[in-house]
Amino acid sequence: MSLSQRQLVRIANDIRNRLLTLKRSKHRPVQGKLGNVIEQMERLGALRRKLNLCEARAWYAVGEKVIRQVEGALRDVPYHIEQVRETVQACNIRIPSLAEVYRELGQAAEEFDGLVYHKDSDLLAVLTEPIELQGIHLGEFEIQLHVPSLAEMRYNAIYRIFALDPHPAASNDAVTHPHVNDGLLCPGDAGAAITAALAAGRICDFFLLVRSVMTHYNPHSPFVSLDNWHGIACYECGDIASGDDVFWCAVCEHDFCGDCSSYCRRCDESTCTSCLDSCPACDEPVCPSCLTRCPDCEEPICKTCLEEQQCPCIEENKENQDEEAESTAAEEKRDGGEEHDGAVDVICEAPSVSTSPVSTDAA
Amino acid sequence: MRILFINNDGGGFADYLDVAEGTTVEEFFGQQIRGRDPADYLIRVNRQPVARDRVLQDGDRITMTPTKIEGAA
Repeated sequence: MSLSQRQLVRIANDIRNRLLTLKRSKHRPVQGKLGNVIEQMERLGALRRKLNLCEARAWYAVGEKVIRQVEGALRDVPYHIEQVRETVQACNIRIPSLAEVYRELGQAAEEFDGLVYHKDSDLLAVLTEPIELQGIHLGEFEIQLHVPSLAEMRYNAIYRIFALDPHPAASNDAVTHPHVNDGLLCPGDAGAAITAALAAGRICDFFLLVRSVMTHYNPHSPFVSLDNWHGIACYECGDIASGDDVFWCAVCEHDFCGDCSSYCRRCDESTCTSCLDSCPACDEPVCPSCLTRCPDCEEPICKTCLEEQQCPCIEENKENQDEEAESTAAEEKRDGGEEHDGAVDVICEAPSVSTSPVSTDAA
Repeated sequence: MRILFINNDGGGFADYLDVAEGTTVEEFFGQQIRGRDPADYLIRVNRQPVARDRVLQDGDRITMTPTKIEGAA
């Protein structure tokens, strides 16, 4: 429903009053900055009195020190003066007349085929035509200007983009347009011009600028690129995945579907299955960052198992050592037994002692 | 003669400029926005679309708004 002349006048008056409030709000910073300049001047005044005293009493050495202080105080003066100048310039915004704002609204109604005002939320809005970028249909959008926020010019509060027929990115419902996220447009190159237009009450120019951003695609800086608008192809199997079903491999830096992705059991980093290797000790899949080489056998092993000395080669070495030890012990035992047996043979082979009486002949 | 020029390309500031009598809209565009195609701009004189050969008058208000502006993320 188009706005009546009376409604347009009322809205134009509201806009103008908000801009006046904004302009008046810029007086306070001038007061603050002016105070800084005056402080510096007072300091210089005090130093001048000191210099007079030094001159009168021929305190030349002290005078030199005061000169240094004057030098230091003078360094800050241009900065503070520039600050005042900038804040004064910000006050020199020309507020458009009621007639001019009214004509702005009339022009906006013509350029956009209608102007609406959402009374309950104080939103002045225009409708874009259905937007299609690179063959992707994004639907119509309502560019909504929050009129009360004109008095403050807070960036995030002043205007929003509402998708009437949303066709959001598959990976993020809040991205209804490559340059719109959660209703907020990132205006890029139009930022300064949009701010200037709103501050000057050029409402139609504001709407036109926003539309110019929305009807043009910047492939270098979208929230979601149009190439991935309907989802992302898995790097491994090629299936299209979107939203929470897309996983990023931190190793090879590609996107994967849920079936082709996993995670390192040591650092919990999300990876694809191809970038994981199985640790021979614990048999867990680990990423290359968590994999190292055993200094003894130079086989791959996860760092945790290495620290806990779980490499199979350690156990193998231990087994070998145990076997060697057993073997050595067995040999020693065998050798020791043979000597002992020899001694028995000697005893057994000892000559037998006769039992017949021994005759003794007297010589 | 003096006109008000609002250049919405870049800073978006409005300035009063002196232009020679008989300057057309197309000529003025070429002087102010060099190297660009007028087809990429929305040009309005006194809030109305105009022909390229329209001669500017004293007190005219002319706006030039790019139709393709790069947004960001």
